[in-house]
Amino acid sequence: MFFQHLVNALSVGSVYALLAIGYNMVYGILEKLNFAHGDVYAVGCFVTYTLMLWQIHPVLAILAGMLVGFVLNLIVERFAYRPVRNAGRIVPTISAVGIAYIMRNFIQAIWGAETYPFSLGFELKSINIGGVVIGTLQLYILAIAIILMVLISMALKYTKWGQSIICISQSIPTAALMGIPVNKVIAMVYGIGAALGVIGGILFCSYYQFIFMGIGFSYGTMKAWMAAIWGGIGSLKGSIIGAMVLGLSEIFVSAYVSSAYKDVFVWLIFIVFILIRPKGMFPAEIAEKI
Amino acid sequence: MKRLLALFLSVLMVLSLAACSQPAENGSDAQAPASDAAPAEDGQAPAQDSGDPIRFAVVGAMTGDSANTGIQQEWGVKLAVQEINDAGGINGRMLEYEVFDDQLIPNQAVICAEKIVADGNFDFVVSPISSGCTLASNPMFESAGLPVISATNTADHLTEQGFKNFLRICPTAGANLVQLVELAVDTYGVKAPAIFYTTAEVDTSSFETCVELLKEKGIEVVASAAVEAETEKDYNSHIANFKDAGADAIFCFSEYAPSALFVKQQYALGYDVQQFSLSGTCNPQFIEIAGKEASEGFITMSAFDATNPREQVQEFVKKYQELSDIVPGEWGAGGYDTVYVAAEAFKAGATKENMIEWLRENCNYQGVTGMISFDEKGDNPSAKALILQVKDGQYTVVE
Repeated sequence: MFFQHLVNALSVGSVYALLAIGYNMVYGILEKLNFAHGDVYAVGCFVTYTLMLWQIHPVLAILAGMLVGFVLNLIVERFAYRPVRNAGRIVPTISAVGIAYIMRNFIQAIWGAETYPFSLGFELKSINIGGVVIGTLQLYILAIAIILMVLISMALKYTKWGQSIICISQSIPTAALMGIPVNKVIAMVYGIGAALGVIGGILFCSYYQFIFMGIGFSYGTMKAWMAAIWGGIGSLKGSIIGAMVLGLSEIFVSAYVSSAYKDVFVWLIFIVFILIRPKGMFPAEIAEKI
Repeated sequence: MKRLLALFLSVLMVLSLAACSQPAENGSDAQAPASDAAPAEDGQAPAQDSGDPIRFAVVGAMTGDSANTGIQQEWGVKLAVQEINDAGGINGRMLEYEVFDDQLIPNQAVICAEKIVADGNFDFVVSPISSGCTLASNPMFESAGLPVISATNTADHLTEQGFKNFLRICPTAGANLVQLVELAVDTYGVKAPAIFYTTAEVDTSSFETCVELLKEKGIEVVASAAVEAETEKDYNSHIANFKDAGADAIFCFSEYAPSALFVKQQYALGYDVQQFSLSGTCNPQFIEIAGKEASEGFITMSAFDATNPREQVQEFVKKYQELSDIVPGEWGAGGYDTVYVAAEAFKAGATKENMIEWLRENCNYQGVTGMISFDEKGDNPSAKALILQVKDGQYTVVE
């Protein structure tokens, strides 16, 4: 049974990891709490869901959802974040919370507040190894999370855009003085973060086979934020490992301690951890890279 | 420009936040049926003169994960109001109602109650969908002398609080559980059950009662899992625990969405044991979310049977479907019956002040959910739930 719990925990962790990658891109560069991340990409997920209901091919529907997430976050960045970027930490955070509410209520107004079944259309198979059941989608999600992490790391390291992002993460004024189009690059980071979030959100919905208006905040924002803090702010590797740790904590607390008070124990573990290592598992070294 | 944009966003934010707690009036809610609400123009006390409308408040989850329940209840209320008003109203008085969204959250229900009481022009209240919300909000209604009628609050202890203003037409969870446990143990031979439930008031209370009832039959619960429905959607670890504990059946106590996800995940893990549940899962959405295969054989309960051949029931089902495009469940039927029960009292000349007393002493109404009368505590002694099983993607009455 321990191994079944372990597989479940890694599966949940993989889902969180996908959600955390997009979140961590923005968080890592600007170090601003983006509480709207989940709700913005949730709109993209609902667009994908609707297009699939209209019999549009899932790949096209996902691309359209990503595009919507991308454009929406560009707009949000331009009108809600950029004007308050230099106003300390509190103002952008409140602005993000406001956007989160607007997005959630937008979803509610268009799609309603109900839980809907969600499927990408392919048959979900599982492999039984010595009594431990592993879903093939669980493996795909883990693989996609790792591939995305590698691709983003490479893009940051080897492209001009990536270098610009790293420069901005170190110092926005210096980056501007060096001729980097700061506003444009930051907007792109927000847009790409949301598009990645849509991928994570869609795989999350496929894994659990449902979609509802709360997917953004409960999972995309809170879990991704915890994973990012746990792993180390700005570290892609850290966000994936942080997500795995979060998944492990949740599943094992739920299985062996208390299901009803799972969140209490997980938050306790989290608080104790950040008291000991406030910068997460992979702090400064990797934070500087991004 | 920047200031204008900031102002625009601020207004949007305020409107967005306000939308969470505003009553759905005049069909402003995208999903809810259009309300016949017509807010009073002044703040005077309700007039009892013939010709003045009878105004009532409908409280329920219109948004959130259980919005389906509140929306269905409102369809039933709307249909009853339409029928009564089309027939000339009650002694010449038209019915008007206003919907308040408690999101199935007790503190939100209290906010709704504050608004209703502050309005001062309501004659009665169709209670919140959830027992927990009613428990939280009813003291406020009671202090304002507002009668509250429920068709959905099943928690046993609600009518043991000594509320003078509260009546319910639905069977209690305790009575339903007696039926369910008898079915599980005596008919299905369950010997080692596990229980999955949410931390909601009614589900926790169902869990405790179920454990007691099983104990009386000499059955021990081998495993249990309480989940926070709003934030927890992955139940694989609980299913693994149930399997490991050798559970030969699972009781599911929740609204439709958590149980549907549980059943779906259970099916995916290849763990095939019989599930038993209460009326929260008797909702077409349950089958839609869980899927036809995973939900097959699932046993649940309902205070309403849409296949009942009785003319009154079939006429209601037909009209409800015309109005809402869906087959009514117990929330819709309950909302419908609640309005008619209140109408009985007003028809006989009762007022807001003596409505509860009148109904306790005189009500003997044949509704679509069955015979409705009330005992001293406020329970309907005739209420009895039906046992249904999912067969080929449909609920089928088995008992």
